[in-house]
Amino acid sequence: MKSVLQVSSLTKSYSIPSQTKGSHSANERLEVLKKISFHVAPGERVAIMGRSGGGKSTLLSCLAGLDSIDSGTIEILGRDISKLPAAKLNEFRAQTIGIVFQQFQLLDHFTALENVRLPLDLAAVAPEQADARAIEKLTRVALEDRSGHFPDQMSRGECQRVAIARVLAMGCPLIFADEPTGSLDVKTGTAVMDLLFESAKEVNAALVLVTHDPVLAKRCDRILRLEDGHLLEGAAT
Amino acid sequence: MKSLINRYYKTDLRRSLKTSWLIVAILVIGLLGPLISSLLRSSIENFLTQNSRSVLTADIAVTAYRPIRDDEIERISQKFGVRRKVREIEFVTMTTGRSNQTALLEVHAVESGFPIDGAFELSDGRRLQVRPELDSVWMSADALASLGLRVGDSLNFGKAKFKIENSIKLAPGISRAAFGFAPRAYIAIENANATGLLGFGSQVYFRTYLETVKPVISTEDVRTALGDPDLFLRTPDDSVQGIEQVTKFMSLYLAVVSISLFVLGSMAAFYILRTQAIERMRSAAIALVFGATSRSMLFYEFIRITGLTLLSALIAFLLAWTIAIIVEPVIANALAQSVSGEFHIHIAWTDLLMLIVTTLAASVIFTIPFASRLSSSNLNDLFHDSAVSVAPDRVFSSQGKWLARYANHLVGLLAGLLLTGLSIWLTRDLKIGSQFAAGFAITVLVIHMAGVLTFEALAKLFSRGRGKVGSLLRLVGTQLSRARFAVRLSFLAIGLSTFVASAVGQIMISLASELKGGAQLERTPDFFLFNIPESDLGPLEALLAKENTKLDFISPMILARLKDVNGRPTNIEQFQKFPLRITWRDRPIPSEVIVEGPAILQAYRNESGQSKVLPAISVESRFADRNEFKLGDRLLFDVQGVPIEGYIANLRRVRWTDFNPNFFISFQPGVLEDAPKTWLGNVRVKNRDDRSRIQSAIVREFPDLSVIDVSQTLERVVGLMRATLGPAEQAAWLATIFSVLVLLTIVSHSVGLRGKEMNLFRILGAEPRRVSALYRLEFAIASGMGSLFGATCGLVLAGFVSIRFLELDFQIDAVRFAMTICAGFILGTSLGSWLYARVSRGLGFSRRVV
Repeated sequence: MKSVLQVSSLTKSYSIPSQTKGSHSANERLEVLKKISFHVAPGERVAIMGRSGGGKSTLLSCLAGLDSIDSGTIEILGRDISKLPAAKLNEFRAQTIGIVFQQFQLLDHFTALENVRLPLDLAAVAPEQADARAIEKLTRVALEDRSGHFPDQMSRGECQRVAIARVLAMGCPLIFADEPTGSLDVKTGTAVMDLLFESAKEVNAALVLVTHDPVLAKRCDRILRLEDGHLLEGAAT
Repeated sequence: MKSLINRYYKTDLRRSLKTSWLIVAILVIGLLGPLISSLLRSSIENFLTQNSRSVLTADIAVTAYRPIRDDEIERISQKFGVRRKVREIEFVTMTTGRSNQTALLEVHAVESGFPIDGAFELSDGRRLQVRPELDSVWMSADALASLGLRVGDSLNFGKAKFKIENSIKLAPGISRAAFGFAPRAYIAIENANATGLLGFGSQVYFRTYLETVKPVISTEDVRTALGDPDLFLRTPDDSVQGIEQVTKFMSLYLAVVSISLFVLGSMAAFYILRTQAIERMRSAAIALVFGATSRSMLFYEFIRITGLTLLSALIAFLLAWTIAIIVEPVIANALAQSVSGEFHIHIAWTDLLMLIVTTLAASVIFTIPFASRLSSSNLNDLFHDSAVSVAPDRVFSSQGKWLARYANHLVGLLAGLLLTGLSIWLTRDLKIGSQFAAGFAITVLVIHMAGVLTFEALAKLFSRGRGKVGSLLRLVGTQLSRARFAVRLSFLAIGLSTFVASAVGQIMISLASELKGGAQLERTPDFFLFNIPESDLGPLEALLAKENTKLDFISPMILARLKDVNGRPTNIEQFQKFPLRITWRDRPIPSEVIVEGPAILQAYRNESGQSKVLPAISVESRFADRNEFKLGDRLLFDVQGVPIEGYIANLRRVRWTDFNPNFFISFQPGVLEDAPKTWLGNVRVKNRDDRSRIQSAIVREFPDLSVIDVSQTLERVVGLMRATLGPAEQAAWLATIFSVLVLLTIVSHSVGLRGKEMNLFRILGAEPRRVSALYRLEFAIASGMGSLFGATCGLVLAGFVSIRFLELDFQIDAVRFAMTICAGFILGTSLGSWLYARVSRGLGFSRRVV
């Protein structure tokens, strides 16, 4: 089966200032990701685990084309996103990648419906179609009766469900989720993840999940561990 | 505990240092306008209080159309004690200088001992406290220039010849004879009779200046002592009324500008502190967990904010004082045209008190957002990462919930009170200040509500947009209809600044158009003739006919005193002090329009003396308004000893700037014909080259009558208007520049909040160009609408002031109106682009979200 995501020899480093006593500051390179290679098949669920500050979120940023890389390739549906110009990358990202954030990242002054419809509006989808698809996805996450509510009128679990509905509305084959249950209680977190897994399965979207939660990781098809900048196949601990 | 809070606040202050300075800078701008305005007004008032006696040159001046008798002075002396008295005779005359140049002069013949107080200020800078020698004249520099004469030359007043001894810049004392249009000349009283100009037609005033032992507080006591209502009384306060009126007018205007600035500055500071309050709640909540109390947190926050506002007040005060010192010579120079004395900037304790009260009140208002969040916060939220974004309607501890719910109302109420207090302080008048504050609040509300409704309508209109542009507009509509505080504030800031600029600009245009517009000039005569004796009328008309012109709008002028209104003695001070100039007319002249009641077309007939129908009177509408006269009211006049009563038949509007013989009171023909009178009229010269020759011929043939060169006077009035309104308009533009600064601050401060939103747009697939267009459109529409509503409100205010108060034909300058709106639109677009550039350059991209 052809990979939806193919990563080869991905390297990423940051320049950080270091200061020693009595000397001027100088920049040092901190290598966060070291020649990482892996692939994700359509509909596959992959968990990425690792210690805090180990580079998981950096990896996700690079994979989503939000951060530049030093070397290597990131191919999504066969296209190397590291070589795409910025404008093309935005368009390509909107068509292929959906992201679920730990802090939901909903616009406070938009209603649930408007938040779900936002990517469709940005993609210039006709208003009737955009409304219909947004309502459909809100119904899918069981929030159709909350469509006119603002984020501060909803619970945190509901906010995350709106964020999932937004990703579903985009209809992307690849979903990245960065600690999606990190700010939810266990019960709500489980319900939200059930929803995310089911929804991804329904549209055969691949799911790359960054998490600290071994129980959640075990529900995935594969677990990758990021240790000292290297990505290793592993099991949840 | 105390050290914990101290440490917390030290860290907190250090971290928010940049924002704190921003708040101080904005508040300094906001306070600067009211402070400068008030400092200048207090200084001028202080100057006038100290120097008003030298303007009048005495404690009281008594004026009459006849010589004032010794027994009358004696009666005043019995009541107040007279230390010194000096007599003066005032009359007007035309005089001829070099090359047949003529000018109307106001001649003051003064007794030895003049001036009692104050001094003559000469053009060479000397100050003299003596009067001119016999057979010599001291003339104003203006008169010398218009006659082409110099010190040392000679000229004639009537039959007497005088040598010009001094050129004067400023003279003490008052005048009545030439409507304030003619420059003054001073001679010795012993020479007055020799001029032969003290006959009836010359309109002569006899005056005595008195220095009293006891102060004369009210003229009413003197009037009672004298018993003769035909004596006009003037106190030092009356003498500076004109300057006070100008000061009052300018203060009112400056109040508009400075309150706009204050409101803008306060709104921006409130916005930043409100945003800060949200951010500070997390650290406040942590401090609460570790033992601090809500009360101590609130106290410290209030102290922090009060510290910032007091620092702003101090800097603003020092800046205002510096600016006032810089403009001190300009104001001193302007005042020196009317009042002698040293002008200095004076700091009134009331100004300082009001500054402190304003500052403290603002501190309370600024603390409310923090207090509201503190009262409604729940420490449990710390564990749910929501302590920073609590909404009032969510579940919180019950105590203090009302504050969260009613915080906005409380802020509105306190801001309204602060605005009212500030307006009263600046206008120095409870009624005007309250009306002003109400008007301003209504304007802000109208602009705000117009914005809210328009944005909602736009959101609906754009909601069905298709294609790339349509979907972009759809998003813009949603953004605008949920207009965040920053956008609303930007909208209001632009609305208020264009309101001020538009109102001032449009009033100025109407005034300029009225005074020097082409159409108006056609209506304006070349000469205005007054004091024409009845015997001169025929020969004057004959002379003008020979010169191929004529005397237009010939009108009689009769002096009469208004005694009773509807059978009751009038208590209006103006009528007790001064007689009215009245006339009779059988129909309105072109500069008059009847606005209420029928025209008076027939002469009054009372053949048998039995008629119960009173003569009809036409009253000028503003005069009627001021004195609360209405149709049907009966007015009883004392026409030089003869009581004549009439009823108000109609009200008419008069265009005074036409320089036609216009009167407040005009009787029906057939009533006043036998009263002693002089005549007035206009002359329009067909060929402008003949002007000077015709003027000289009139003066030569009829030395008793007075001629005002209307075009010269118009130039003077236009010059005065430019001198007054020019700086006023500059101040309005200054306010606009300040409002742009405030806007930049607001937009700049919203960068952080917008960063997250912009990144999300881009992560969800929006191209950078599209996000940039979104921001530019959002700000362009908000600013364009803001300037449209602001400029429209300004136009309405300008129309109201022009028609209601200045009685002008209101002229709308469509180009200026359109340009104001375009400027707002361009400004908004630039702000949106700037915001986009700052957010995308300054904050990076992915890190804000992921």
